[in-house]
This record gives sequence, structure tokens and C-alpha cells, in this order.
Amino acid sequence: MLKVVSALMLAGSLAACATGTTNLTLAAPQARPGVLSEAPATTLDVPAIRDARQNQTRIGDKRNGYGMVMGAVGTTQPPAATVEAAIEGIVAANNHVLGGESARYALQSTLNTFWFDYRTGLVSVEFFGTVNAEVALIDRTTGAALYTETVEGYYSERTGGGLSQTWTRIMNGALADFATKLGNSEGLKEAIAATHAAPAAPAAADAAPTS
Amino acid sequence: MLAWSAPTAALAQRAADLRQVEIVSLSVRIDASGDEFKVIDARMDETATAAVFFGLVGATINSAANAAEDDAKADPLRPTAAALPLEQLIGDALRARLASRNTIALAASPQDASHTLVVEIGDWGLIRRAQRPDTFVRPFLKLNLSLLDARGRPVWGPQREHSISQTAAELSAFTPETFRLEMEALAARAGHQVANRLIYR
Repeated sequence: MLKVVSALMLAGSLAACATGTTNLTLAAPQARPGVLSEAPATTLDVPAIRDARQNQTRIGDKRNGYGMVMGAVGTTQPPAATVEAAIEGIVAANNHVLGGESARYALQSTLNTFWFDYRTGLVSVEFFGTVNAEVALIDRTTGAALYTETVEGYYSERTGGGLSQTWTRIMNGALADFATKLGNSEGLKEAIAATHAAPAAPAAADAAPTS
Repeated sequence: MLAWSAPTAALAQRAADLRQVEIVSLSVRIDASGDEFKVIDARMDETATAAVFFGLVGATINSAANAAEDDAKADPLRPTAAALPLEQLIGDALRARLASRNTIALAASPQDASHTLVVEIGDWGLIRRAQRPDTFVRPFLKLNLSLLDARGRPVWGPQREHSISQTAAELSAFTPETFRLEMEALAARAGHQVANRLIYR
């Protein structure tokens, strides 16, 4: 009798696991200095990220052996908030100053992808996560985008299997890769450095071409 | 006992984090033996429908059909892809970036290096940017990184390094010339990315 009850409980727990929504608690990665630290210290605001993901109700699907969607993978915090925290961490770790709404320069981002997925092989499962956002350096005095880059973080692991703990590790890995790539962006470093360059001297009036 | 412990002793400690590896001098090896040029478009739409209705055979046939469709899309770019010196582009950019920062010494020869960074080129080519209705594709490049000690034992990795181009457009917009230019830029960028991971580890 005990065996039957145990088997039913196990089957029930697996079914619930496969069909419900599992919410992952993700954390912004511990940021490290990178290429951005080569630019002079700059005050940068990181405003709220625009969430442009195609599906904003989940970050992945739970599928059965035939690939049919049975449940969802979600997050306890909005993914855009976690990515925003990751960008703020990168700004601070690279010796820049986090500014507020009055800061002249802002790192304005649009989250395009925040997705967890997996491929099932014969003896192993490959889990992978992708975090993709367009990050722009904005000069608020003109509204101009001084630099724009699509940054994509990716992380994958091939294991014998795994549940929410593994899925959390995969998505945290993708977030860490996103942060590393942003922190090592040579284009963004140059754009930040260019904001410190002395403005070009205005051309003398008599040097203007005449017709 | 001796027979058991001998191979165990030959194994190097594999570091979880690159920071744990003290690199005195580095040699870089780019391995293009497993690289594969691909267009990934139809394959992105692969669903389980065929598997549900027709089982494993159905799924295999469906998968093969998608691969064939993508192969046909890749055909016009194959001569350009075959002529691209990815190995050299990645290696040159990586070494140039390392040399410019001078935080990790580049060894004169692999025999002089305390460590060897192995960069394996995996799949590369054009991949659809997102699920449909988006039809834009963009260049991509997948690398596998690992670090070997002086005795050739792996001490870190493998770690995947994925790079994407900033340019996305309809597949038809990628002429052989634009594709070549975009891939060259992406390969150089990927080389810099790998170097920066080592410099700022």
C-alpha cells in the first residue's frame, strides 16, 4: 500500500512539475571590471529597461518527450529588472558613477530576448539560455543616441538532466555572459570616452567657403 | 594501487573560473577542423508536430527537410564562406588585442608557453534573429574555448563563446560581398572578445 501511495505521490509531483509554472529566482551577476574601465569615469543613468520580448508571460517552455508544451518557466522578478540590475552593476564595477534622471548621459536598453530552452538527446540534455538587449548611450541634452549595440549573453550546459536549480544556473550564466560582453564592449568604451573629448573649436567665420 | 594512482596523478586540476589560472605566457591555437558554415532559418521553426503524428521517423524526415531548405539558402554564399580565413582573422585579432594590453605575455612558441588557449571554431554563418514573423538574419559565430597547461592537460573550459553581428537584414540582402565584410568584422570582434575575457578575467 505504501509503495502504491509513494508511486502516486511521485507521479503527482512530476506531473505538477511538468505542467505548472516554475518561477526561477535569478540574480544579477557579480560584476567585474572590463574594457569599460578604460574610459574616463562618467556619470551614467540606467533608466528602466523597455521590455520588447515577444512573450512576456514566461521565459521558457516545459515540454514533454514529444516536444509538446506542458508548462511554463517564469521568474519571480521581471526579467527586465534583473537585466537593469546587471547593467547598473557593470557601470559601477567599471568605475563609472550611477546617475539619476538629471544625468546628461544614459544607458537606455531594450530587452529583446530572455529565454531558457533545452534539447533532449538520447542520454543527455543540453540546456541553454539567451539574454539579448539593445543598449544605447544617449545624450539627453540632444536626445541623440551616441552609440548603440546589441549585446547577447549565452550560456549552455550538457548534463544528464536537471530541474529548477539547473535552469536557474543556466539563466544566471547567460546573465553573467551578457554583463561580461557589455563590460568588454570596445565600442561603448570609445563612445563614453568621446563624451570627455574637448569640443572642436568653431570654424572661423572668414574660413567659410564663399561663392 | 600503483596502476590506479598513476593515471589519476596525470590529471590536472580543472579550474571553474579563469581567474584561478595563473598564466605566465600564452600560446594561442585556433582549431578550424570542426567548423561548419550554415544558414539557420527553416530549422528555427522546427516543432514537435511531426514527432507527435509520425514519431521518430516523422521527426527525422521533417528535420532533414528543414536542413535541406537551409542548405539551399546557403548555397549562393558557400564559395565566399570557403574562402574566408576565419582561423587567421580570429587569431590575428586575439593576439593583437593581447599584445596591445601586455597583461598576458604571448609565448614565442607553443613549447615556451605556460598555457595554450585553444579556440575551436564551431558553427558559423547566418541565423534568423528571432522567431517568425521576424525574417531578418544576422551573421553568427560559435567558438569553444579551453585552456591547456604546459603538458597539454585541460585546466579550464570548454566554454562557449557566441558572437553575433550588429547587422541584421533579409537573407537576400547578404550578397557574397556584404556577407564577407560582415563575417570578417565579426571574426575580428570575436577575437577581441576572447582576448578581453583573458585580460579582464
